[in-house]
Amino acid sequence: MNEIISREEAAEALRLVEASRASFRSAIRAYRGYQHLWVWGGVWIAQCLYIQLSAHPQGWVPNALVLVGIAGSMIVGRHQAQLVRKPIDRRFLAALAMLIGFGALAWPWVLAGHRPLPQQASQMYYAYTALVAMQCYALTGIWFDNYLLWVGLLLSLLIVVGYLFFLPWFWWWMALFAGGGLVASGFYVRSAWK
Amino acid sequence: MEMNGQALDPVIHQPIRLRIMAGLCQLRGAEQVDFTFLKSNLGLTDGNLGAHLATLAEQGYVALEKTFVDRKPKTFVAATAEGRRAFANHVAALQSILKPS
Repeated sequence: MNEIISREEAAEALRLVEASRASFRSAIRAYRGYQHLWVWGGVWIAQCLYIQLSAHPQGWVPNALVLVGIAGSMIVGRHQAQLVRKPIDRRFLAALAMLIGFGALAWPWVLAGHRPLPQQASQMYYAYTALVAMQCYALTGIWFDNYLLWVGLLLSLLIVVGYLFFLPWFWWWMALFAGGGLVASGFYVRSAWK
Repeated sequence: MEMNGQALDPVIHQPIRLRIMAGLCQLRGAEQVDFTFLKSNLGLTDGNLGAHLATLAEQGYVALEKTFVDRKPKTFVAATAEGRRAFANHVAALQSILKPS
């Protein structure tokens, strides 16, 4: 195509390209991703309120809520796969498995498992588990270059602040700022990247 | 008006196909996107998008894969390596027009 086009036409075509790229990238990144944040925000709120208000906070309910979260995420993921199909990224899964493996096994069972637990053990363990989850979010955000990096970092900060400075109100804090933070992040992602 | 230094691609230069290729080239690696999503993202009708995709597919710039998800027919679309190259060359040609001579 060795025809003549003006600088204005070329500039307009490049603007079209940029607009299309931005719109497509945003839509792909945000497509139903916020629903994962709502699911896990809801799970955290329910867990923390249950632990705070229940007479038997160590029962099976918090674990059952995790299973509800996993089921919810699988349903959302299934819908997402209907939009963009991609092969499983084995390197990402391996990195995630290493992080979760260290977080779930090495620290709580190997390094801290034989020591006497402090009085605030349940808060400490919950904060730690939540921090590991947020590192998974941050890793996902770095790997796929998306908003989960900032969600992971912001919520990590809020969890640490809650544990260090608001321990007597820890469960309320976690319900409001960690669980609520995830839900609010979901709303933000939904509106900002639609 | 001025003559462009590099060759513009007449297939990609059409504005709708330019937008389609710009979007599809945002996909990574072996990712494919659903036809319905592409349609709503670009604000096109089924027929319009289908015709432009057929033109791009004839040229070897996009690959279409028809399949079934939950027993419903689905079409997934992706840019081919050739399509990505052609799009990159086309954008470079557009940029070269804007360079001061």
